[in-house]
Amino acid sequence: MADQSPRDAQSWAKPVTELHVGDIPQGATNIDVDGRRLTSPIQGFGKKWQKTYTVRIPAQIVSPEELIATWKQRFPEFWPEGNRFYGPLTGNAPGDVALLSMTLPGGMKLSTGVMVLYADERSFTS
Amino acid sequence: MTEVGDVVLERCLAAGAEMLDVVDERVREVAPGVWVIDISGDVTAASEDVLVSAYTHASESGAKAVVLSFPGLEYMNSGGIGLLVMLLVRAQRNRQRVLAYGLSDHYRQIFELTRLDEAVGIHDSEAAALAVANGKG
Repeated sequence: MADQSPRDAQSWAKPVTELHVGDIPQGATNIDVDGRRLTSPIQGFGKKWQKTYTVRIPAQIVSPEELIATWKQRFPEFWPEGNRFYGPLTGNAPGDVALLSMTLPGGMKLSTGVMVLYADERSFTS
Repeated sequence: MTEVGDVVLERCLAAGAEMLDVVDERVREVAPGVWVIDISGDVTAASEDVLVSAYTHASESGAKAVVLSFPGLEYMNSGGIGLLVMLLVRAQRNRQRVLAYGLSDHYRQIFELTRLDEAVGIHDSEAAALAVANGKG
């Protein structure tokens, strides 16, 4: 079937066979990310794979584009205490790989990573 | 009820009826227990009501297999793929088979990237998908 380059084409990550982490930030743990395949969202987090939080922010205060630009650029600052997001300096572009260090209930530590699958001016998904 | 309330109610009913029309146009039973959902235009988080309604209609009508028809897909963002994941999870819980056809090269790559192709049987044509859904493929 002919591909017609849909307008979302530049927003999706390019296909990869395995993940590659660039410079590893100090403090980050890269034990199960580099060289690994992506995990499907179907397999990833079981019944907890999706949570939806909604906040209504009037466009007069901040436009969707401004909000997402800020969120992408300062994403590592928005994580709760005990959790770290080691993202690339480019600020969450499609295909970027970030490392995560998380503290689970009970104090157990989890080190993993995510790839930015999609990013445009109004949204992004890892 | 006030006049304003009447107007709001009429608009809600009209919107609901319009959505039912859209749902009716998007879902069809093509063989016993095999339903096709036509996915066209832009698929974003805003598509949730229509797509979930179409899937629910098929599921409550006894669907054993759901075939997603993609030739009309023009645009899909991360909200759209999230919506497809949600449908897939629901179908798995309901022990329904999910197949797809008509994906362009671009959207096939996205299914491969997200590994949804491992959970959804992808086919070139509706006939090929239906053959598998009917156990003839």
